[in-house]
Amino acid sequence: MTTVNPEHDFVKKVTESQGIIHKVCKIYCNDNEHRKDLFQEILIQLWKSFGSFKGEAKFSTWMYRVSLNVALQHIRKESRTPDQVSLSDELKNLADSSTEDHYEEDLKLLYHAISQLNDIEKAIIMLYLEDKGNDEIAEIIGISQNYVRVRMNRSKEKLKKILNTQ
Amino acid sequence: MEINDLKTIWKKANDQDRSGYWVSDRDVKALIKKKSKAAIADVERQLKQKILMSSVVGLIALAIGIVNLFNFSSGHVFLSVKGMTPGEYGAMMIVMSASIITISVHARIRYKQVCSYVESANSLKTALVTTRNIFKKVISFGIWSDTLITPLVVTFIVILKLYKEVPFAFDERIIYLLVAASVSAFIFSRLGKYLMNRRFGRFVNAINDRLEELDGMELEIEEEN
Repeated sequence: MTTVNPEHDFVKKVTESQGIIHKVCKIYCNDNEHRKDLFQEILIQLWKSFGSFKGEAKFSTWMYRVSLNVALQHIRKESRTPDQVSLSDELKNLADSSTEDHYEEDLKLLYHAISQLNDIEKAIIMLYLEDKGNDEIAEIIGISQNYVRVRMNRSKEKLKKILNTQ
Repeated sequence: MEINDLKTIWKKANDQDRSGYWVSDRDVKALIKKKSKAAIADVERQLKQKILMSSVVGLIALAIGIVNLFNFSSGHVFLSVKGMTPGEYGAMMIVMSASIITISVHARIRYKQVCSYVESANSLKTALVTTRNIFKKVISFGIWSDTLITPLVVTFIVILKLYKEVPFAFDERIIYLLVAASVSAFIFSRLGKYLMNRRFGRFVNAINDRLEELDGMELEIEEEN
């Protein structure tokens, strides 16, 4: 019988599903440095809590849960200046969003609209856009499905209003 | 743009994202070894240091106290303070070590609590509530542990001064002693509170804001129903 190395297993799974982390970072961060910082923090936290993943929920659900927890608790120090930020070499090869020009106008509008929502609404809308069902969203956020349904409708209305005024 | 179009735009954008932002498995492996800058990781490190320091200092104080207590009949004082008998000095060191070891035990309890939280993957609401509770406990622990030792030392110095010539009696010296102990405890607890709030206050407020967002929404829906 072969034993799976947890680190190897983790790295494989997370590398494949890293899109989840990128999406969370993009929704919750306004600038590139902040985004890279949050990306690193989410990875570290995912690894620390990997032992809690028992396979009862989907790996993506678990990843969303941990990533959103980190994003909502990622409060940066006000006094931080650019030269105090030490990004790891591994993240330096991440593309700079300001130089990437493959985002369409609609996407810019969408991100701008989402940025107007509060942090909890952002999480709900992101999970909706990810095609998650109300039961899964309720599990990730820790609220009832009824509450998700009502909040989802309101967030969509809010988003629609923002998009129509743009 | 219609709401129905959003999912299509979202999907398209994320498909495009793969090209520019993807990190390799080697990078992931290296990144997970980095030191976390999160507030909870900061607390974890701080508690770890406190456990180590208080255990070492507490055990040294206990050893000095025991040596002096057992030796006081011979009159030799090990690492003594001028003007104190070995018995007094030994008793003082044992009280000090008991206080320090109490701090160490509490730090260990908080540390285990933080570790078990860090290793879990709760829902968003549970995580926010747990984090808030942990920080409240860590802040209050930080305040009392940081302010316990100094007032204790101040009290012992005052005892030494007050009862050096004339032995203990129920006179006005007790009032001086109580005033000195209360004032030093008050000043150091205020200082501890200020330092703790400066360090974690902003983080706790931000967590409270997010919880208020969640609770506020729930309340709104309940009221409508």
